[in-house]
Amino acid sequence: MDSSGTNHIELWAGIAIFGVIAGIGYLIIGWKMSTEINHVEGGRHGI
Amino acid sequence: MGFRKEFSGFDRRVWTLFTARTIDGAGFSFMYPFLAIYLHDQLHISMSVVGLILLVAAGAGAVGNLVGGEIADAYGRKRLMVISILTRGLVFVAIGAYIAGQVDLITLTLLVAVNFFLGSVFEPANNAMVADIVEPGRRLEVYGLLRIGMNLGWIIGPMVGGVLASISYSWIFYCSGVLCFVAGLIIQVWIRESRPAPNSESVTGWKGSSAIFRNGSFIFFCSMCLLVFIMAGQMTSTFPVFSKDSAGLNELSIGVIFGITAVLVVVAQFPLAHYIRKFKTSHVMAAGSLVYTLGFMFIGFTRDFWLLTLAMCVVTVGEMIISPAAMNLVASMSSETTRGRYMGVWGLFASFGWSSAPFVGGVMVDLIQDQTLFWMAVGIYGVLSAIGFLALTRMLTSGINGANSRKAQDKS
Repeated sequence: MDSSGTNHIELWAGIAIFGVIAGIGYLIIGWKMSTEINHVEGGRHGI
Repeated sequence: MGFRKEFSGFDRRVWTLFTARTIDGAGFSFMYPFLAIYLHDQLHISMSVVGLILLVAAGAGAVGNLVGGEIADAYGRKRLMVISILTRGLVFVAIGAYIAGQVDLITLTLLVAVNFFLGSVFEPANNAMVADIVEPGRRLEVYGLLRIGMNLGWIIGPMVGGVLASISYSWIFYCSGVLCFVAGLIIQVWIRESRPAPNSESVTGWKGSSAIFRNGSFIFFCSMCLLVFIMAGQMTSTFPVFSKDSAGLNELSIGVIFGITAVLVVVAQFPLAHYIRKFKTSHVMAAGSLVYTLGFMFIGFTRDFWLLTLAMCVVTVGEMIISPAAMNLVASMSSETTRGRYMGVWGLFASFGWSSAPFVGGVMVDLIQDQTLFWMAVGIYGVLSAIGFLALTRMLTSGINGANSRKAQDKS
C-alpha cells in the first residue's frame, strides 16, 4: 500500500492476465494471416 | 476491416521473431529488476558498486552491438541469433549455479557482463533480419510488433520473477536460461536465413564499420538519438527514485505504472506505427521527441499516482513513436549488405545513451535541487533532439526519409 492508501495488487493481476491473453491473441491472429512465401525478396537474396 | 488488412501478409518469420522476442523478453525481465536487489540486499554491496557493475555490463552490451552487427553481415543473421541466445541461456544457468555457492564479485561481474554482451550481439542480427524480410513501407509496423512482443514479456516477467525470488534467486537465473533455450530453438527450427548474398560492393571486416562512422548524416542521426535515450533513460533511473522519495509510492505501485505503460504499448503500438508511416521519418522522430518532452516535464508538477501514470503514458507514446521510427530510418539509410553493421553502430549509441542516463540524471539531480526544475531540464534534451531531427530532414534524400518512396529506393 502506498502513501495514498491504495493497494495496486489487483491492477498487477489484471495487467498480467491481459498480457497473457494479448500475447496469445496476437500470435494466433498474426500466424493465421501471415504467409509462407517471402514475398519481399522472393528468394532473390536468400542464401 | 482495415486493421485486419493491415495485420495480414507479413512473412511468417515475423511472427516467429515475435514469439522468440516475447519469450526472450520475459526471460530477461525475470532477472533484470531483481539483479540490483540481489546484489544490494543479499550480497550487501553498496549501491554505487551495484551501479558500477551494471555500468560494466552496459559497456559490454555496447561493444556487443558492434560485434553483432559485423558478424550478422559477414556470416548471417540466423546463425548469430541462435548461437548468441543459446550461449546466453548457458550463462544464465551458470550465474544461477554460481550464486548458489560462495560468490566472488569479480567473477559475478564478468558473468553478468558476458550475459549483457550476448544479449546485445543478438539485436543487430534480429533487426537486420526484419529489414531483409519486410518491404520498406511496412518495416515501421514490424519493428513496432517486436516492441509489443518485448513488452508482453515485460508484463508477465517481473511478476514471475518476484515469485521465483521468494523461492531462491538462483531459480530466477535458471528459468531465464530455460526461456533463452526455448527462444533459441524456435529460431533454429522455424526461421530461414535472410542475409542477402554478398556482392562486389560488400566490405568485410572492420573496414565496413569504420566506413559507417564516416557517414556524417547517419552519425548526426545517432547523436540525436543519443540525446533522446539519455532523456528516456530517466524513466527507469530517476523516475522510480522520484516516485518513491517525493511522491511516496511503494515498489509495487511503481511496478504497476510500468505495467500500465506496457499494456499501452500492446494496445496502441501497432495502430500508431501504422499511422505514422505516412509521414517523413525525421518529422516523426522530431514529433516523438516533443511528446517525450511533454511527458517528462509533466512529472515535475504532480505527486499523484494516477497523474504520474498519465505522465508515464505520455512518455510511452513518445517511445512508441521514436523506437520503431528510428529502426526504420537505420534500415533505410543502410544497404542490403551493411544492415547489420548500421544496426550495430546505432545500437552502440542507444546503449551508451541508456547506460549513461542514470549518471547524467544523478548529476542533474545534485545540481538542480528543485524537482520541477529538474524534470523541465530533462525535457530540454527532447527539444534539442527535435531540432536536430528537423535539421536532419535537409540531409536525407526523400528516398530514405519519405514514406511512400521507400519502395522505389529499395528497388534501385
